[in-house]
Amino acid sequence: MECNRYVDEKIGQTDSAEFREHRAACEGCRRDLEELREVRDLYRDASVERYRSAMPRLRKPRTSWIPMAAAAAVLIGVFALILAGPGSDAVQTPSPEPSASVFVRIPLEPWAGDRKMNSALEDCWRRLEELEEKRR
Amino acid sequence: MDELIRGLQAGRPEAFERLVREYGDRIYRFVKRLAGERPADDLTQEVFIRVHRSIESYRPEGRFESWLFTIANNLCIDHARRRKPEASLSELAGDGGPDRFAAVSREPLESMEEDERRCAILAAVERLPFEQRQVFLLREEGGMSFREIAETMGCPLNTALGRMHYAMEALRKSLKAYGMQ
Repeated sequence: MECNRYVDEKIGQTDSAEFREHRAACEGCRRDLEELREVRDLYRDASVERYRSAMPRLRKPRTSWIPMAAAAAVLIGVFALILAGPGSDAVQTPSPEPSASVFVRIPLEPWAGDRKMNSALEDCWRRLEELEEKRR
Repeated sequence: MDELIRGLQAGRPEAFERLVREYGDRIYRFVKRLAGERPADDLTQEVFIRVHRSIESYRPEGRFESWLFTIANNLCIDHARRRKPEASLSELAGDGGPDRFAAVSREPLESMEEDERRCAILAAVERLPFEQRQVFLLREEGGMSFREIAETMGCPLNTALGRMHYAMEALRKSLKAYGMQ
């Protein structure tokens, strides 16, 4: 490009009156502008590929209220047992062997990957075991 | 446009169909020229998946198109960096040369010469340094203003303008070397 002060006009950023006046007299700038327009037009003409892939499979993020509600129900049940206390019917066992545990661990597969939930449940079990120990 | 954005935010499938229909070709061409032909389909899909994931947080402060092409641009940069983790942006390049344009499917051309000219310009674009190519494509395919381009690339406006200037000059010289002008 011969006249570097008109870079913005030549790349299409602006179209100033000053440049329009200048290019009327400047053969070099006129040629530059024509060539750059030709480059741009040629690119637009050539860039015609189509996106032919299928629509992406879009899924809404799953709301996890069902497992969470189930987990909450289990927790409530466990706490109900704790609150019932070691003397209540809820935790008294008819078993003649005092060493046998009165609690049965429920498999918690659906929440196995949830560290927070597992930690809360472990805490519950620890407390139940402590209560059981005291009872003995 | 507002209707499209509202539809996308509401998760309406027809809004996503419209998005792909209206922007699929341009996004595809953008990623194809910036990241290469091989990953172009996957990256284009990824752009739409990212839009789907983040449309709820989209705030219409700027133009939607600008936001869309910024996502495409960032994905292309990530892709290029995965291929060449140590490379700076200016060292990154596409994944092929002019030869792969032989496989480009186009409408029937008026003449061989016209076909050569089209292949030559596309090949010349692919040979541009990565950052010049980014500016050129954000402008030509993304329809972005230089101010938007500068924001997307995180560079001063004058840098974006300078890169476009060098890109245009390089393309012009390439075409002259092909004896096209």
